[in-house]
Amino acid sequence: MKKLVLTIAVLFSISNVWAEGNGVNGVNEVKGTNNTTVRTIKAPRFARPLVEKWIKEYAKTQPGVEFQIAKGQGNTDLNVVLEDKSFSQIVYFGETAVLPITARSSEAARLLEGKHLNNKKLKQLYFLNEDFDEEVKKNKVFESITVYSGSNATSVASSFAHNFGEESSSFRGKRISGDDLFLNAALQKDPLGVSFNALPNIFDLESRHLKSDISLVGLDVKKDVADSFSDNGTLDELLAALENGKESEVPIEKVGISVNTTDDEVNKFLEWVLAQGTKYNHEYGLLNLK
Amino acid sequence: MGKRLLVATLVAIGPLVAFAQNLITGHITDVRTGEPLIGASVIVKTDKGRGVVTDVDGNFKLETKVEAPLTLKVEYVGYRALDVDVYDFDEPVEIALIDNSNRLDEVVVVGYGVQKRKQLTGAVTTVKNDELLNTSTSFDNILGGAVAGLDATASSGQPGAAINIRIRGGNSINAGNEPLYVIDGVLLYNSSSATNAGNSVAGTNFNPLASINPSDIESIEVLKDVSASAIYGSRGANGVIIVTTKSGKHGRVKVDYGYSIGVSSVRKRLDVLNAEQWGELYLELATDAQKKASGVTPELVKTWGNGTDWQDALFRTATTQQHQVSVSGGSDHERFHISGNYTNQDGVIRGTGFTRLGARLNYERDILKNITVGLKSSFSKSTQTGSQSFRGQSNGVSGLLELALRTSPAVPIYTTDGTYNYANPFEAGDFVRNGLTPNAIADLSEVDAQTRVDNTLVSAFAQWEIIKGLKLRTQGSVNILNTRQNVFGPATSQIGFNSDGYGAVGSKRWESDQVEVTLTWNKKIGHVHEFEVLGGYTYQQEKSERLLGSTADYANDNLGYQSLQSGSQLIATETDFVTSVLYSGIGRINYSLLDRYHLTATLRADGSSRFAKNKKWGWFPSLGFAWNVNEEQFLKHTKWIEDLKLRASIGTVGNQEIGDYTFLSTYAATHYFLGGIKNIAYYRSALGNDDLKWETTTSYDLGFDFNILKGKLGFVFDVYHKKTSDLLLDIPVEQTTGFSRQLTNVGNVTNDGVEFAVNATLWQAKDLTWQVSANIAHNHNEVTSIGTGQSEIINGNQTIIRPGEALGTYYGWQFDGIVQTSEDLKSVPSPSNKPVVEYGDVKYVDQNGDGVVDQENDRVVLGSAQPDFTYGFATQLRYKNWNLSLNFQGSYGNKLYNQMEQALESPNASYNASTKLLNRWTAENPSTTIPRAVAQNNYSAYLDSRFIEDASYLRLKNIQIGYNFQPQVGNNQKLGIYLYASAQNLLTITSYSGFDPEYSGYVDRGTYPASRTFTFGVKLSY
Repeated sequence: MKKLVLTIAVLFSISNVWAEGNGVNGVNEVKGTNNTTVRTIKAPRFARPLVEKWIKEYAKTQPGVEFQIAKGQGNTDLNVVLEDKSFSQIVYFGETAVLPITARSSEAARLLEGKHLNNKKLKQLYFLNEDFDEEVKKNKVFESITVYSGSNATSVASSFAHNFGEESSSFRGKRISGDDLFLNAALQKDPLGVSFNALPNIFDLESRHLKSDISLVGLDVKKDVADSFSDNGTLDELLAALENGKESEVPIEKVGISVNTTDDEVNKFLEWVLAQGTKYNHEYGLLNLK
Repeated sequence: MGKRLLVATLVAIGPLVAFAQNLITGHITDVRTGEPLIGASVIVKTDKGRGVVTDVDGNFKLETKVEAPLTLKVEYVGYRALDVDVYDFDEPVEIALIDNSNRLDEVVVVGYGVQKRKQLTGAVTTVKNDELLNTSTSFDNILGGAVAGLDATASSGQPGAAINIRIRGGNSINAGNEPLYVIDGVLLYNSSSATNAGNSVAGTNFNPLASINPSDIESIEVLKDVSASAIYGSRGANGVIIVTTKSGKHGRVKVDYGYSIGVSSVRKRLDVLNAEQWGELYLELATDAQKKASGVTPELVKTWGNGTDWQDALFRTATTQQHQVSVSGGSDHERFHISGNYTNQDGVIRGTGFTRLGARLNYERDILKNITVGLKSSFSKSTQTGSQSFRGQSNGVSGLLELALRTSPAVPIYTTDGTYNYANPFEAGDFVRNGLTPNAIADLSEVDAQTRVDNTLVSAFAQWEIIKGLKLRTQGSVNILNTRQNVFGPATSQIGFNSDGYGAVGSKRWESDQVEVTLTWNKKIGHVHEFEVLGGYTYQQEKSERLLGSTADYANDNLGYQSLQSGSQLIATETDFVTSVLYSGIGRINYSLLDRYHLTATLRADGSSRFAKNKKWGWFPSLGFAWNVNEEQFLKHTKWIEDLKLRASIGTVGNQEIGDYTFLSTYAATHYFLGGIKNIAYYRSALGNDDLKWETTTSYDLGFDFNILKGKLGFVFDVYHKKTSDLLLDIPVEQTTGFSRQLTNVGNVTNDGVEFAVNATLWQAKDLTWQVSANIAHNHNEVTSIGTGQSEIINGNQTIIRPGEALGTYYGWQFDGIVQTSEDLKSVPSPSNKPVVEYGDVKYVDQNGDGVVDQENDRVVLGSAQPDFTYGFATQLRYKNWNLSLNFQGSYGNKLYNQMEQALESPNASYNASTKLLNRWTAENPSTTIPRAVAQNNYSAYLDSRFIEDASYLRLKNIQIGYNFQPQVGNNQKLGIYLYASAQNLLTITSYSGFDPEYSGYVDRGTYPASRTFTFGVKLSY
């Protein structure tokens, strides 16, 4: 009996090990519910609701073809990426705007309240190579503000930095790894933290208002759109303002899908995205391509 | 049973617990280059320092029990450490580290070491690799315009020809003026004599530096003031150029390949008469006998039309191809850089060209934690082909280029049967033998002339850090130049014309061996004191052996110089052996107080075999101070100032390029015939001087470096005074010595100047960056003394050396117009070369009013070859993946004697002339600039102000447009591709009428012209 129990335990543990190993490697063909081949799409969180909507709508037109959001590491058929200068095959479907943010009611929000930061001041606040100018320097607390920035390949950190002629390595403060959505989480833990994020990550896509724990850092934008860039503005007002006129303080980056396969079904899906999928851009917080 | 079940359960879930770890993967790169960082440390902060290091691709995998969010600490030597909060284990952690150096922490290579730019007390300009555009075959050609106070001019446009470089003006009259080159610690005085086997007709000056592939160079440091150059003692007077070649870097193996192809054509042609125009001139000039002999009549001339365009036959569209390949990399303990290159450059004159095949291996290994050994080695074989040189009689013509330019356009290049025409009926004098004459175009293809140079440069070092901060370094090096100069000219060629063929083979082996041992001690005491003390000993020996064999009178031309024994006329074989030795002790103390006040004290003692017995050792001290003013309290908080440093230096350096054995009383061999038998005799050929020594330059420099706006705008300013004394001059001595002159250290030359450079980043954004840099330098050169016993030295009736004037001062008659028919001929001063004045003759200013214009009393200073200022301007514009760069170089106020123009404006019945003569003076066309046409006018024998031209210029030296992109190849690897097109010498603004204003000599006559080149290339980087 003793031997039997031990043998069962060892076998059980080995099976766990086996399963664990597969989980790590995880680059296997995924089978769908009807044993059909599933195409996988990897997307940063800001684009994930949109991609989920596509999958749902596309399934209605092509019931036999299944797409899924990819989880974990490993190869995928499609990747939602920000603009890439290298010659990878990318199909662009929209643009994302990036806004500076802080935690609502935080010390940082209080310090920045009423400020309308222009390009120069944003550079001073966010990047290592700029100092606080004389006006800012009067308030010593500013120097203790901590900037949180993302470091992953899909982070909008590069877009934000490039907009100000900087590199993502020049950010002051702390880096986080993981999806940019975690920047919001980092801000909740640090009352003096500021960051930035893509619109879908800072707006509640249902209520169309800012997420309750997020506050926008005031920007020096045109007066007629100032309300749209305040905490009281809605996502739709903001999208309209950005599509109607460029604000130099607001980075805007193209978003596209890079393709890693020659699968016909994937190509059909991409055609559908360009023809039908882009109409959901606004609903899910993205700008239409100009 | 219960216990057993518990044990079984524990065993079963044990592995689960064990594998309930979080796996974090990631990739760490250098933010600037994108290169993976190997061996970077990644630690989970809250997991008791649990960590890993990145692999050869910069990747890491780390398992931890700590749940997200956790903090990773990432560290790598030389980079800013970074904390990264990890919230999500699904995504790989991408981390780009930035190196922790800024501009002031940047290390600058100085003599026998390196120094932080912030602490530098000397005037040092760095030229980085990316500024060395790969569009030239020699790196010294690229320095012009890039460094304030550095004047680089070509001695010839021929591929592979020497470049003359002057840093802060020329110091010497008779000794060398070239700077000292230090290639990876190996000291070289760049002289084309090292590759000259004495076969002067084989080619122009071969540039030994052309053996070095510019793509192998990492950086170039130009040491301009005495604080920086005094460590080189008796070789530092003309400035020092330190060249550092590439080393491998810690990281994955990097492979680079580059290919370029260029098309060159001559930038400018000179305007000469066509056949009909020349025929009309000939009819005016030729004597009746000449006309009768040539059979030229006015009717015949009218049928000539354009005739032969000799320049068209002389010049060609030439191609240049270059291949470069390099592999570099390194691990924790070793670094390597291997490269190969091939260049094949055709010259724009037919028959000329340059090829180079080279390889380099640079390797370093840390054999122990505190001992590093390394090797830097290069080998190249270069060949320069073609020659324009004449041998023997020149008939007043300087070389093949001039012969082609001035041969009558009425003479065809080829005969009717397609062979070369060797019968020029207008040729005269030395160039006619048995009815045959040389044909310049034939010579370019039939004369076989080449200079082949094999250059081996190997240096090995070992460095031992005995204790922290105390380093012992020893380096041994050898540089061997094996040169072969071959030439053969058949009996139809100019060089073989008078001797029925001429062949010569010259061979020279030049070797420099160098050993140096240095001990460096670095010590920092708190934040207050920082010392670096250097002491060392060096030894360098140079040896050269030369052999020149030549014969003439060939019955058979087929084997050429490969069979000198086929020549029946033996010409005395020449050999020589020269050796020199230099022993040196070096010492330097760098001291920094509060990292704000810096002092550099240097002393070098040189004992040279070139110095006479009473002056065997020279001592060369210098002091340099620097003050980082911006670190003072009153400026520390002025944020817009990044760096303000004041510098001052004083010191003495020397110039030992005074030649070998010049202090000795030497004897030379000669021949005499006694009883019809040739005998050898020896005679005393030079009067020795037991006090002969180096030329001494005492130098003072004041300057500042000023950088503002985070380094986006920077200025460098220097003002200096240099006084060179003990100039080597031949001065008159008592006749009782048996000599009229003796080489003595007597003269003085001063150079005073200012230099200003500015660098600015005008725009820096994601898609657009725009940078500009500019520099300008003024140098006032003046001879202040040439010793006693003489008041002036006149060289070749062209230049004068006289106190109060600059080196390269032209001395001649002042042009005063043309004698017009309205003038009284008796009132016109008569030139000594044409005593009988006629209407249409040239008038010169009679300076002393004695009615006669002669050489003794009526010559005046006509200007100087020294520029008022030199300048450079460069800009780089990048828009997204495109980039555009432009490099301008200019010189203002320098004069150049255009002797070629003088020859072309001095017509005779043999040679062609300038189209300016179409406007020559006649009674109907009273020109005020071009005299009447008259043969035997002797105008060309004397220098007059008409031919001292303003050689100021502004040149677009290089313009390049390129596009780079990085397609992905394989997993996570990208191939860097850069496509570019460039043009060299695309635009030159100058009033100089010769081929090219950028010329290093004082007299421009038949110099190989500069070319304009269009290049297309690709660079691949993986």
